[in-house]
Amino acid sequence: MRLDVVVAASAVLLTSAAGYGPRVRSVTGRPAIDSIALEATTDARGATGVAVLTRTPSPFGMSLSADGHVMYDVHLQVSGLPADPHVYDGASSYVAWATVPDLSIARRLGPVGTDGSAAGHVEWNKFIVLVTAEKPGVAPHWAGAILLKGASPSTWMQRYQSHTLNNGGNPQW
Amino acid sequence: MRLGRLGAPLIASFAGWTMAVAAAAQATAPADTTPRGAGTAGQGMSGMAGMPGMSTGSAASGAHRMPPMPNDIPMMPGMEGLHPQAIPYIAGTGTDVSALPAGVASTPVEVADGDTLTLDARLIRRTIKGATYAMYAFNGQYPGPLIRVHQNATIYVRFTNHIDLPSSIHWHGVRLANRFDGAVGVTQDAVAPGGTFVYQVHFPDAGLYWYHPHVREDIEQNLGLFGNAVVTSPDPHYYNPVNAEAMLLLDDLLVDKQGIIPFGKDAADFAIMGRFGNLFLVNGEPNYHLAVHRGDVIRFFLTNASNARSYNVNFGGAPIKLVATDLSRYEREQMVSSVVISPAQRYIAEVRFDTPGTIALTNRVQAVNNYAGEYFPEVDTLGTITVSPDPTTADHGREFATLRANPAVTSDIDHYRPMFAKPVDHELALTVNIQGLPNSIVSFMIVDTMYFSPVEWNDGMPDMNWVSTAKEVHWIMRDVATGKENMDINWHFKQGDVAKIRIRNDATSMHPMGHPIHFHGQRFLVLTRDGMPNANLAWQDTELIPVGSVEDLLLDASNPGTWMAHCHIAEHLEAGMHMMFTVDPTP
Ligand SMILES: [Cu+2]
Repeated sequence: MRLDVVVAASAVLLTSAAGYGPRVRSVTGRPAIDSIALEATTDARGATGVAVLTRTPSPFGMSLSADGHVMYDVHLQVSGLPADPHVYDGASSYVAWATVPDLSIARRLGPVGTDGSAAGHVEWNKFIVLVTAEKPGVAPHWAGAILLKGASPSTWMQRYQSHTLNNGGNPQW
Repeated sequence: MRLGRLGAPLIASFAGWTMAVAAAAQATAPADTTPRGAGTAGQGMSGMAGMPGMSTGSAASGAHRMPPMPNDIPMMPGMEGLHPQAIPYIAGTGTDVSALPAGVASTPVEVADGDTLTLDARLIRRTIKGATYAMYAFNGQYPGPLIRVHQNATIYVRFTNHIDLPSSIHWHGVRLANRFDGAVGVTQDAVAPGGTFVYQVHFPDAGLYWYHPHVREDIEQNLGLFGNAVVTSPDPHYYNPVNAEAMLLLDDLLVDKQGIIPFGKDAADFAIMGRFGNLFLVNGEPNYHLAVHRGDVIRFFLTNASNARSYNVNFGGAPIKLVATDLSRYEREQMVSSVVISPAQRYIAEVRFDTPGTIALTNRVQAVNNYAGEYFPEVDTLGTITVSPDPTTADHGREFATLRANPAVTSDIDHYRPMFAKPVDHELALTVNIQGLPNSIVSFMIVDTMYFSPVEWNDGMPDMNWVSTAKEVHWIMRDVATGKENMDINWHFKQGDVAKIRIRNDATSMHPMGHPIHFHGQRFLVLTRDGMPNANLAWQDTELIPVGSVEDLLLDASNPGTWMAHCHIAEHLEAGMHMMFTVDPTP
């Protein structure tokens, strides 16, 4: 089922899970609430990807940590990276990470498979998803080049003066 | 206790909120509202801890008062002078509150098959944390009497309405005869002040239920008209052996130093997000306490009677086993780290207390400050549990460590499994239409709508929320196939039909919000959440649909009659978010 989610999401960013057709989505500028467009850095021009957030299954529907963070499963699908990561300073693999906006903590989500997929788990309020090129080993923090980057939809929630004006929303209002 | 944004405990904050002391100096209070932080400046973080409470004289009719602003959430510029465009309503206006009977704690009452229980709704006087309030109660009790019945019992409840508003009693989750459902406007007319209605309540399902009025819940339920019913199975092993059982009926009341924040008489206020309280009550008490022995396993019966707040209930890290929800046990028991419970939902959970000491029973959420665009950890202490060093007299540790499967639940659900893959019968979209709010609010909201949490665990914009009433805010259940909305919808089923209902919560509206959707008189399974199959099923009557989510429910349309389905945020219900469906009897 999760594979379906990733495949559907990778096909079209605003397409929903498992044959549900287009999810309820803004067509007016508000970002999708459950997917993150991954944008390439100058080190990986032409690469692209998406990280889809799904609720970690829970008997309560809403999956919360004990301290109230929403728990998400993160499903990445990336493409356009060089087939051989060795070009990045001798790296051996592509690895997906999550980090918080001030980069103070990081979590290794997992390696990017040959099919371009990766998966992991996040329970932070605002976070960033990264794909880097890494040398062998399982380090707690990335060391290689950052190739793809995207911020969680929750990072759009900002102090008033920092907002990009959202002219969108329901035409009813 | 509430943790500040930096994690430092704030001293003696009041009931989970602190006044926006710093902000009090920044804005001029409107003449007709309580100045935010008034009376607290100079009290530091003590907030309203020492508030004198309402006078015990005549309950003032008063004007609207802006709710206290939580710590770090200042009032929006442009809010000065604004108030809800509704007539302020305070229970007991004009009466001598000191002459009202004092409320007493809930008493369990065993009601045998065929017996009659009297429930009399009237004004009472409650003193909570030194403040006196005029509130409502059934039989003078807060919460109302805990009704204990055997499964398949039929009881009679003679309801008399002695409050000053029309009322009724809805038996939430109980698959009873339609005409006794209490849904005013659908199954009965409201019971006028002074009037009486006799409910015949049949309890076909074991478990935990609750009752409350089904007219102006935002006022009547909020002020204390609710209670639980526990329905006992004839199977002595229906649940696991435990050392004790305990009710946890959660509620929150919104108060300031003058009393309960007035309601809107002709239209519900707080219509955008619902009324979030700042005074947390468990079983009607602000200082819930339970004493247990080391090693005790306690079975908790949790009900959320709040108007709008969803809770994330923690038992201080003690292991929690989730056993049952609304209308049934789960197919399989499972361990959870907390209990997430939305308005009207029930959970039955067993907790083992292995470590001596005092445990805080808390609501722990990541709250939002809409003004700052930030999250902050909110910890609301709901009560305490003292674990004595003396060992338990009967150790149920082995049974607690075993996660039971419930074949009876699974075999019941097996009858419905062939229908899991059926096409969707009806699809609902949940959305909102907001018209006519002041420009200062609309302007902020337009900019503030870039992201919405799947569920709002707090009120991150209390001033704007307060001003919005059911006159400007129209919450909508829209039938996707026909475009019909709210009470224009009346789906038809035949008794015995099993219907797949798809519900989408529109993330594109002006203020999307998670909605706990309740179907009256029936039971349903949650088949999928955002396309992911639900791996551990139980029969429910209320499901929280987060913002942007799509869920498929399988409705067991077994109980004939025309019923209501609605959002259980009381103010959303008042703001239109209800519809009908009819189950036609099979001859
Ligand atoms: Cu709602």
